[in-house]
Amino acid sequence: MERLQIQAQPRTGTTKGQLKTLRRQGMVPAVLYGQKAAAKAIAVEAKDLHRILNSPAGMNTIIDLTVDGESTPAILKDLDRDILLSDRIIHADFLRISLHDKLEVQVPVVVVGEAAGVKEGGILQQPLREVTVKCLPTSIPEHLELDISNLALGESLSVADLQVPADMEIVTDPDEVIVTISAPSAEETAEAAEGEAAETAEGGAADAEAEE
Amino acid sequence: MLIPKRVKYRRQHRGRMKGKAYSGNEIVFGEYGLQALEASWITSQQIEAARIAMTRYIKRGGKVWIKIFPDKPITAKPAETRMGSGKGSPEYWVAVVKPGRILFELAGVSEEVAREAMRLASHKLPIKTKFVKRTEIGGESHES
Repeated sequence: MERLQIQAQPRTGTTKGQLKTLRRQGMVPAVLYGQKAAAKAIAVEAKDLHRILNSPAGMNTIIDLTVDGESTPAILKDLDRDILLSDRIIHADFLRISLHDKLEVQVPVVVVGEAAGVKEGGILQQPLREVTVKCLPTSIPEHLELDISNLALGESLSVADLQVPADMEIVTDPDEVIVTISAPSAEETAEAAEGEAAETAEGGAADAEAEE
Repeated sequence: MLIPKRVKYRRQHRGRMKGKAYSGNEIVFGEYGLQALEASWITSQQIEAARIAMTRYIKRGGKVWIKIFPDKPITAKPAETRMGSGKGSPEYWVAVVKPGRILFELAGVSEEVAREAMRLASHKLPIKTKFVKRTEIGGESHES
């Protein structure tokens, strides 16, 4: 697995104004914690965070984070993004890790193949896109594949259907549905839609009157 | 049209719409979404008009999720009525929407179809919106 080298600076400013100034300089305030050591306020360059996110493993990339000349293996634990401009990162959490201890991470599930149900006109729905797995940091997969070629209309696949290596354990509930093929919604005629709307409004008004 | 089945109190205060949407600001069910860029009341008629515009364009296939619900009653006094005599009667229902809120989600269609469907839907709404994708960081802006 690819390991990224990231340089971070220790951070002293904690007020809103100081953090805004920091962000204007292209830096992102962050915190480094974990492994029973004290939490450390740091600042990293925004472009370095985007480099982590654009790497194949994304959030699960192992980072050698250098602060004050001291390098620590870490992963990106959490990100705060701007609600309206989601490429603008407001804050990042780095978790110190041990390369010999197992840790729990979220791994994306990628569906492969074209389902038989989709060929018949069904709609592929994927309610679960990530599963939590417990494994060594060096063996975190980039994604888990789920073959859906034999999935017919109305059928679904759950977490229990995922194939994982022996040294990896899935933490997510095995009964949780990952993909399902549902029947398509019928084309709606204008009259039907309007009629339905009128009925609902009348019914609702009657209910409201009853309340009073 | 969307309307609550029953309510505890028939009349509400107007309230304020400051801040951003700190919940309901991520695509949860579908592949594509329409995100509000302004704060506003969205009436049940506007939600219905936008839904119809979307479902008519995507025809068969695809699934639409409406992520907002008009649960706030708005009262009005009849025309040419003298002031006083208490608060007016409930006239319509609105959803309180703040910037960042995902209004609709769509799945099971191509990106081009989703973009056009969302564009048509955005023209039925009183606010600026942008089209967002699940995988995309940022999203492209188009105004209604």
